[in-house]
Amino acid sequence: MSSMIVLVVAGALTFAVRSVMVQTLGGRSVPQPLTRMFAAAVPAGLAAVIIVGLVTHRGDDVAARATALAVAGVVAARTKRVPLVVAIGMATLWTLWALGV
Amino acid sequence: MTTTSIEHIRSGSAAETTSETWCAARAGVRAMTPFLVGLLPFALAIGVAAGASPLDDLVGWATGPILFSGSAQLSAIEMLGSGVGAVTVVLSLLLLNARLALYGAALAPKLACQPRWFRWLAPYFIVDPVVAVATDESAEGCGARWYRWYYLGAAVSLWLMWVTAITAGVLVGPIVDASWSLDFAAPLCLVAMLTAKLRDRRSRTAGVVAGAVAIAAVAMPPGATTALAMVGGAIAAAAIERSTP
Repeated sequence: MSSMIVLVVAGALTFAVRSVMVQTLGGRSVPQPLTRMFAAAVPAGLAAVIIVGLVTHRGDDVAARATALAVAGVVAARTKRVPLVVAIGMATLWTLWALGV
Repeated sequence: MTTTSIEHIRSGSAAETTSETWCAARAGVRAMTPFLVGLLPFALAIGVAAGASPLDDLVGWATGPILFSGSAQLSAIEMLGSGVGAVTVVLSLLLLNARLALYGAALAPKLACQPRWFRWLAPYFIVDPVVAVATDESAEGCGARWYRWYYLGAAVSLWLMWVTAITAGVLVGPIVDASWSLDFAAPLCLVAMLTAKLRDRRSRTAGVVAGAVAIAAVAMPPGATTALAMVGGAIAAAAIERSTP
């Protein structure tokens, strides 16, 4: 099977995954525990993606990356300014690399 | 009422509607703009990976518009380029994107009152930054039409940046030295999105438990770990809210 066909099949199934809950739940009343669970899905998903990306990183700079993410978290909580979060996070990573962390 | 005055009212109403549409779309673009800057290096890196892969450039590039999901795109380029079997590729990508179903559930109440065409279009754009912006408090309470165009403004601006940057990465190759790790800006953007969501005890519990489950389940395949951690965090948050008087 050509790579493009595999990609199109994967894309169609990915769209199905994305839309299944929107089409299934749309307009229906959902039990309260599930509503509460879905409402917490976004912070849970973001935290999961960040941590999985960190712990599965192939390299010897996991400590530097974890520190940079922590510093970025503090900056984000205090300023809520995304460009500043990114700038300080990157600067922290590069500084720690320079220090051999 | 004369025909002229009715036409005047109709044209006035149409102008107001158009104005509201543009206003909402611009608000969506504005909300997404800071993340566009942070995610640009990651999209460029995907384009560079597609160009450097033994895979046909067109197939590598097409992962952008077809999958529209960074980590899944990188996996697809790597697996297809190294000749991994079709079934394994499709199942691996499904596992990596399984968490998007739960994002769909989070958005379902907001999309329920939208027209059918939008309920089918909106899920195509479901990915972390779009969901983060679309569930922002500032997007609530302005009506279905406003929300629809706000969502489209945010989602389409991300999509355009994403596909353009991937195209540039495929065509031009590495613009910046890879040793700078500029793609680290992507998790930094996610940290900014997450911090904005940690408003109450429920969301903080969700984040902490999801992180703990992700560390505990690190031996599992990355897609499974992410989905499990997300479900674990969401269940913990629902449980703690229920136990709170």
